[in-house]
Amino acid sequence: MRNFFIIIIFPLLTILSGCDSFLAVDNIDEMSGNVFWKTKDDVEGFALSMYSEFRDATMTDCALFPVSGDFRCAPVKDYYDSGSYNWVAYLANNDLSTLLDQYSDSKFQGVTKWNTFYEVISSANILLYEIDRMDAGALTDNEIAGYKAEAHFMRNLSYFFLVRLYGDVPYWTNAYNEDALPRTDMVTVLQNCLADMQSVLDDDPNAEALPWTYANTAKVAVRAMRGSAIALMMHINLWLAGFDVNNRDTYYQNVVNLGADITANGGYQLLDLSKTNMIFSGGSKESLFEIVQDINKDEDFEYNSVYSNYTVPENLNEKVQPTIYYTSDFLRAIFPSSKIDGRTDAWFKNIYASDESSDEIKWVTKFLNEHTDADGNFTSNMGNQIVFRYADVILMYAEAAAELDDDVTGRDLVNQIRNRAGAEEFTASGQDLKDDIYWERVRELIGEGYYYYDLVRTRKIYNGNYAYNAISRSAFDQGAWTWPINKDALDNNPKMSLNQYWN
Amino acid sequence: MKRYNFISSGTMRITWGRTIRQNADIYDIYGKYYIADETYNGQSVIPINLESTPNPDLKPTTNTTWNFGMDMGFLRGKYSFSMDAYYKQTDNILKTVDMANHNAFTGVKSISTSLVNKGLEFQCSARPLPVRSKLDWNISFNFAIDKNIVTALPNGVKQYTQDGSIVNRVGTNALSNFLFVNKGVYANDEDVPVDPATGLRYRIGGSNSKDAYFKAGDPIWVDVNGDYILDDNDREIVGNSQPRITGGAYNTLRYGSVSVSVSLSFTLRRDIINKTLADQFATYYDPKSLTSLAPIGAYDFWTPEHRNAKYPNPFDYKRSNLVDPFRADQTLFQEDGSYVKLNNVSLSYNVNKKYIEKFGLSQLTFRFGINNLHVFTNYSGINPENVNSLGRDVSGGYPNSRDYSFGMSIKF
Repeated sequence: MRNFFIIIIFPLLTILSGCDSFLAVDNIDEMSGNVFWKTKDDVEGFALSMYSEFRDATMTDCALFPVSGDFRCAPVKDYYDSGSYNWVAYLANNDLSTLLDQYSDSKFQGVTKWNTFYEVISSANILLYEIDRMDAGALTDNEIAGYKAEAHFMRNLSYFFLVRLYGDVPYWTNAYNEDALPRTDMVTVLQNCLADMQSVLDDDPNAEALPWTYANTAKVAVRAMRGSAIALMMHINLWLAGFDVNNRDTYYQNVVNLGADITANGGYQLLDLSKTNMIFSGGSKESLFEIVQDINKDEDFEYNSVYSNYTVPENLNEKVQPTIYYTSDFLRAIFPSSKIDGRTDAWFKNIYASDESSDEIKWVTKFLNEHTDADGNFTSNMGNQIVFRYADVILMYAEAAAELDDDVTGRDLVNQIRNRAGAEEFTASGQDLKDDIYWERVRELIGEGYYYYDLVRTRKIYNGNYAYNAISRSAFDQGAWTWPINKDALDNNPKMSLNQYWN
Repeated sequence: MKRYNFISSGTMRITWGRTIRQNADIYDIYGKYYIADETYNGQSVIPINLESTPNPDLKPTTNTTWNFGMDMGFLRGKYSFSMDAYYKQTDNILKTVDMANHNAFTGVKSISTSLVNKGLEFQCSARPLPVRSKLDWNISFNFAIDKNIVTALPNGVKQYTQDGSIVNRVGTNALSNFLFVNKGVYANDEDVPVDPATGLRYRIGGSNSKDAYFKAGDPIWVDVNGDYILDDNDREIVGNSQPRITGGAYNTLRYGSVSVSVSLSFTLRRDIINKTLADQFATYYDPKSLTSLAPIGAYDFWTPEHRNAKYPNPFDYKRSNLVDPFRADQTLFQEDGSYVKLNNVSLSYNVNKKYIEKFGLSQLTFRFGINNLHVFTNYSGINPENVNSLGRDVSGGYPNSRDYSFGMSIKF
């Protein structure tokens, strides 16, 4: 009986499977790994997948910058006093448990998922592994060094974002990792990242592999540059200065050294305030690293991932209110009406309007670059998302110099930002200067995803003099500053643990 | 040799065979790169497909079979039987192993799974009456016993669960039922065990709600690991979703122009999960929905007035979605699915030629047959035959139709 079946079934199977492969048209868009990694085009296409995955992780899968960076613990309120915007208050009060319980939107839930950042890391690791196994001659040595530097940058950028969000995270740098890993202490992770980035700079002393800028304007700030790498390293150092306090002076010194290098050799500039639109649409002399949005090529960000879409009304309709406003207390404190500051007009509309006023509505117009497509889909900012820019680097440099009691350098640097804004120069020193520099960061980088993280790394988050919605010291120590990790991370990983504070 | 004359033929076979088949494709081995739909900065992006990590160590699946067979005929073919015993070992079975989500890839193809099948197939047939007898009687009977055992799983793990309620565990059969063991219904709140450490009642895991604590009318599920929380760690292997013995019998009697044939089939030792009944009760989880509520009056379920019942309280709909008292993956709905089925009875009559020749006909046959005549079973559901490959009742409450057929064939 068995044999009989085999006799019948076997030819049937061969006929069927024969048919199958006959009908299946080989997809020329798919290549297996043994025919890939042959040409420069292969490497270029694969390298772009790191950038594309990073865009997914930040600007598509969730509202990373506004939700985790700008509005968390910030002095913001919702204009609509209705239940569906309660999330603004939950975010502002760091009540993330309620937020995530009540809102299933991916703009919040997506922030709990680290998968996409790990896709960037995985791609970077694969690139670093495979590029060394390619046939000699496919790329020049300088091209190889360039792609490797980009991969190192994208990997460490992703780890930096992961650490800022979740604290300790699994750290791996081998290609095709299959092992389930526990979370690595975040100071160790960032020190590894820093060492990694340092070797990129050291191996490339003449900035040939990773140039200061690109001749091809389409690549400027879109692909990693030496300035992007330095900005990342300065950020990592400052984060470490906050969490590895015993070595803080080393980290500040690193920031000063990096700052001195980039200001002396980078050739980057602060653009005039009247060119605000150029600064934030991308590719300018001020820009160090950014995420591409190209509306005309269907490369658009999620509406909810764009900060500006919360702070100006849809379709710029003067009659409706945007979702979110900054409280008058805060705006008047950072931009006192008695002091001249060009940013109050260039970056805001009705900045001094009261919170209750329904005639004058407060907008943050800093990123305004609106676009409405043929289907009527509106976005207030069609430009790229700036990740690092020169003003941020100067302020980090100033902060580190001031922390090392080099008030002269610190003051000179922060006054570059003051001068560009047309504001009065700072003259203070000591702790007052440090405070001036901090508040200058708040003013200059508003809406760029730094507000919350600056409070956390400087520990100002539990000081009511700086934080409008403070986290208590004890809650902070229990990990209240982290974002909850999705419990998917526990699947197939017995070594994984979530953030205790949130579970 | 004369005394063995009753044996008319005989064969013995021993066979060994190995088949090798590469089930992995080139993408499993080297990874698949593709041109993404979305560009970056206007340039095309070529990422690697993240479904499975490239694994260059994928060897083909090998299938090694030992077979011992015997065929014999007795009394000039009046009786014959054949028997096959086999032992089949399958190694390097391709299986996707899921990975931790920090690895970007969702899984990796692995060949560390091995399976052993062993079994017996038996068939016999007989024509017991003498050749010259006017009555011609033909009977045949066959059955097969199959047992499989998982011998290795990827990464040296001892077990894998599939969809929660099916488990592959090394040393047991490949598709075991992995269920919550039901021991009845809590008659009163006081019957629910209390954790002496916390003073809290046994509860459903994964929820902080007050409703998660068990109370009267809830099913008693065994707390296997004793942590006073019911979760997937409390499942046990309590059945086999695969039938162990299958077979059939066929019988034909012919006397002159009348013939009668009967066929039956059987499946023995299989565990069925009566999902249809579970679904029926589950309609009460959401009594306000537009789908109709199935009648359950015939079942012995808990009510405040009737506390010692077999089935949990179906009317506690506020908690039902949390407690899920009628989940199909519990022993409450697992039953013995053995059956013997009378498949078909048919009768045919050939009209004698001399009556029909004058009408210019050369043959006239009448047939009458019944299909799906009767199923002998202890299974409480409607039909133990109508289950999916994992022994889940998918009949939806509908029986197989019994068909009566009447036929006539004419040759001119």
